[in-house]
Amino acid sequence: MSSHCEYIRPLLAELVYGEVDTDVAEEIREHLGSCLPCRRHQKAYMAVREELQRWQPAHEHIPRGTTFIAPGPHAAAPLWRSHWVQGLAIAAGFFSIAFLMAAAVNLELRSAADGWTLTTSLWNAPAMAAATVPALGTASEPAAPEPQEPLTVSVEQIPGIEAWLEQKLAERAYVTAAQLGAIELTEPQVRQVSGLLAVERGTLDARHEQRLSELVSAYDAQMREFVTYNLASLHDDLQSRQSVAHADIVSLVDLLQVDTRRRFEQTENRIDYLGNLVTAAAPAGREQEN
Amino acid sequence: MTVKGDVQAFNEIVARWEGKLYSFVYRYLGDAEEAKDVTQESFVRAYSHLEGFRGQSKFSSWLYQIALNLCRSKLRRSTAHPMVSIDGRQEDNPLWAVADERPTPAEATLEQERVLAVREALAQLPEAQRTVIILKEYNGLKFREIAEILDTPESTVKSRLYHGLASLAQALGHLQAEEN
Repeated sequence: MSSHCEYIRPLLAELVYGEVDTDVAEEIREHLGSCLPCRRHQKAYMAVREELQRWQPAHEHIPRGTTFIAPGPHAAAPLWRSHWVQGLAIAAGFFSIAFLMAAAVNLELRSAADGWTLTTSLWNAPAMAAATVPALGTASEPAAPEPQEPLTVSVEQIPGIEAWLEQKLAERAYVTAAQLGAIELTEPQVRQVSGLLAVERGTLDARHEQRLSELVSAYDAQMREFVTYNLASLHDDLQSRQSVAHADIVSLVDLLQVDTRRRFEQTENRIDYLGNLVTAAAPAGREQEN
Repeated sequence: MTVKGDVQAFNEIVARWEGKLYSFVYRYLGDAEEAKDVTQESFVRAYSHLEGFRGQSKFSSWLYQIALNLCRSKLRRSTAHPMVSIDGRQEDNPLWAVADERPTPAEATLEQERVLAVREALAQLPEAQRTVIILKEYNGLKFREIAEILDTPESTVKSRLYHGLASLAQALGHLQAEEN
């Protein structure tokens, strides 16, 4: 095997999966034209791909009756994140510190007829350190807490809340989009389609290229327009109310996120569709390449 | 965001990715039931760590990473406590240890034999090569995406694909040993 064959062989694997740069593909084709062993390898790799595709069993799709359900909020959360566990940990810490302090000052708690007596030998001043706590039922009952009004947020009372909310919404929209892979949609998808363009450039007509660039620029414009629109709606909604319940704000944020997600998906589908158009536009080029 | 909203949003994510994730896990483990469990567990893990996802990688890559780690754990456990295969031919092969879907003689056809040969050849590959081939061939991912999932350079992914294909070509009789 010549050194050029050694260089070409790994590239053949990339070629049979159609993921190789145009100039490299051209170089491979030139080599294949004059090298029978490498042609044999190329055919072998294509045959392997065909064989791999034979494994399309009944289990290709999720068995019927199987439904994946997002778990409940507490079922999957780590134990240390449970509020109960956190509360217990804080309480345990508090009592540990109290116990250690009590031991350090030689604290003593005694039961007496008129209640409980707390004494300490610290500073050798029992008169100052002793305190009597009334027994249960001997002291006056503390006043019952007054029922609290449900928490509401008044727009006027909190300066800058709208700006803060807008910022949070923008951040949240970004995070949601990132979680769905939508923010990354711009660059990778464009790169993906651009990659197709690079491979198929020779067979693409100007109309497809024009359509692609329109779509890519429209994507950013749509995003800006949509987020701006939703923020404006939220702003109007806030302005029209004297007081906005916290739950209302949460609902609005939820609505914004769901709508944003749909918009992202629609755009993604359109880019996929265009990718298919681009692929379909150049079957001859790919066949020749393979 | 409300808990209800979180669950609703996450269910949308599950609906979108469950097919692709299951397809990968099934081909990796070779057993439908195990694949179902691991896929479900992957979503549970993803849900419980959703706050930790900061979008440095694609969400799908993150999901694949979780599933792959679970698959590897599953195989390690299978290797530590290997199941006994029917004819004792593949004891050392975890892919066969968890699944034996070979047809009975009556059901055997040429096509089924060939599919079994493909599965066996895949199972014989080193795990790193097998993973790349599954992600590339059956999940249709780009080299860049596979590199992100495996946290390895693209050049390594390409190299694994090449060596994997070459081994498969030999194992399936498309290339002679001396040709490789």
